[in-house]
Amino acid sequence: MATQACWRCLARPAQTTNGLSASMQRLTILRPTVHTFSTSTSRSTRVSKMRKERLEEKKKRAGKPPAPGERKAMRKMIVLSNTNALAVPSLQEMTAENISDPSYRSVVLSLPDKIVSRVRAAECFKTYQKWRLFRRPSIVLRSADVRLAQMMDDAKISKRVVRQVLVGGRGSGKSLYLLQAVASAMLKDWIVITFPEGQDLVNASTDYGPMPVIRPIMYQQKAYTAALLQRIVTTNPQLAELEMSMEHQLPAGVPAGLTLSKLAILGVNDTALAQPIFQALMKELTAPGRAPLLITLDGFNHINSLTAYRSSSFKLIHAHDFYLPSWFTSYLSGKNPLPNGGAVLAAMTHSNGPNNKTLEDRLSQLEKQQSLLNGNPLNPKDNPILPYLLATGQEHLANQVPDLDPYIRYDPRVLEVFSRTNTPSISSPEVSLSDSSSPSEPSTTLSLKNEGEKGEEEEEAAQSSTNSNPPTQQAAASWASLTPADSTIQVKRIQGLTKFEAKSLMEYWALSGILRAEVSERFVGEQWSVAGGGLPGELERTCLGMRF
Amino acid sequence: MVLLLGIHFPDSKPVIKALRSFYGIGPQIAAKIMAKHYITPLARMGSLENKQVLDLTADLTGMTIENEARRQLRRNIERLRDIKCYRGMRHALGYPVRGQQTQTQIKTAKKLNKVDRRG
Repeated sequence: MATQACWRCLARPAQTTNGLSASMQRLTILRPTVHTFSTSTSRSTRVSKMRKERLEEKKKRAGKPPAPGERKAMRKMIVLSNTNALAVPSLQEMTAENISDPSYRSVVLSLPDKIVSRVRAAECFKTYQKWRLFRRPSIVLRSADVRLAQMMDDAKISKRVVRQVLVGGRGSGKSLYLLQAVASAMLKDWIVITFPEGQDLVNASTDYGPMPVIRPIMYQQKAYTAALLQRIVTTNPQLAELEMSMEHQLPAGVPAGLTLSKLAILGVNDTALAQPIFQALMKELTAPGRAPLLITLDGFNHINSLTAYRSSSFKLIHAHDFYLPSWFTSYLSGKNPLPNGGAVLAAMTHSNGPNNKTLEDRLSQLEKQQSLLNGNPLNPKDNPILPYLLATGQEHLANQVPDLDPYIRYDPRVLEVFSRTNTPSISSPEVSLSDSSSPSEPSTTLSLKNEGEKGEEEEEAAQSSTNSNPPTQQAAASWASLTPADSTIQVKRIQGLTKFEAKSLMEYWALSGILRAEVSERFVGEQWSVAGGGLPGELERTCLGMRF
Repeated sequence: MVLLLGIHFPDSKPVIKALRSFYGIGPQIAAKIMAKHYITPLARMGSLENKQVLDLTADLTGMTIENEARRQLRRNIERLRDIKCYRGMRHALGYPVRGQQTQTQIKTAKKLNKVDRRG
């Protein structure tokens, strides 16, 4: 017999006198009764109240919102020490001598405490680098770094200028090379001026306006210039001991006979004065008898195209119409001299850089030309008309670097930067070498051939022989007659670490307790390959990036 | 607080927003005005120099904005109605002006298309 209970709600069989099922009865019970008056709050009010309460609870849980600027400060924070990392007893400090000593190649050196805060002020440490993992900031000395330090020594003695544009893939260590250059310059008591991010000059994030009097119109960036002056003062404490040596046409209120740091501080405090004070400061720093100057810029591709700024007629302004980028390029190109010697380094960027066909093509052309000058044959794939030349019996032209693409509208203002670079027409490597090499004796300080990595060494020595002279009086004298070569911009390709350098670096990581693996040949080889041929940025990612 | 054309703007207000708050100034005109006075796109009112504020006010004073722009709009619609052209008639009836269907979905037209349009 079928049960009388309702299967759906398991209710007792209803006392159904009226013949309705149990569920139907429930429905009748639940049917709302309509009242004409109610003392309870309306449903909508209840809902909004609940919403409010929920929001307040959420706010309480989320805590206090960060103050203005706090999140940015966190984002830009550079941590240079980790007390949990082990101290490495064998770690040596960088000194003015050992950075230019070839026997220190592939050795990890730590930055001395006295310059760490100055390098930080120069904004050479980047947030994406893994400084925060180690007890103190240390870098592996690469052969390129040693060579640069030697060239800087040369430059000081022979009062010439090292001009380099750094190219290389992403994470290849271009910014580290700049850091190394800045550290070297500080150890050698040079004056350092850095532009840590070229993008900041052109992305319309700081104020701008036309400079008075100058025609054609040139734009200034007062706030950026003031920040730059501040950076110069903090980076170069020696400015406090240097006094003004000449008269400047400065706006009223600037007393004479100030120290250079006090002069710069005036510009920091009053942005309206920043531009004329920067110009006066540069005149002072390039006066005869001052220390050599190192000028670096990271993100060179940014300052060679149209900016995000607009002119009063609503046209985009070219970066070279701004005072600071054009100031930098004038020193890079050799248009403005550095009479006390120095170095001007510009690093390309591949993380956030815009496409700049003019710059890319011209740099790759220069690179090939310079490679030919150093006696390296041209890679056949670099010369698209090679099959034609070979087929028509014009092999002698095969080693010529092809011209720029005639079907591309290049930016003449960017090409102008490289116009002073000595690029003789190359018929054969031998002829061009004899054309460009200086009459002085062969380089003595740069003989790195004695140890390891022979192929690279030969190239290095050849490069240095075309680009630097021995630190002798004769070289200094002969240099004066070789002005065109002085403004030669060297295209410096930064590649991955050698396996030897990578091993040395990994051993340091392991000794710090950060890398928990046995640093064997096999491990180094594996990591080196995974890191795209020892790119330092990638090595950091593969060895230090994954931490559980 | 910065006074621009008789209105106080807080220092934290972006200049482009302040300019666009005036009837008759949209994104393009605002960008052009700012470029004319060398103001960066992200600048805030507090960062403006006195001279820039005065120049901006002078510029805005000479432009057809706010009530003048609204009046101009009404005058244009009135002219259309007075010459009894199709667009004028449709405005007067509160119907869509540009050939749209009217059977359904003409709420916007009913709301906006009138001779004394507010702007």
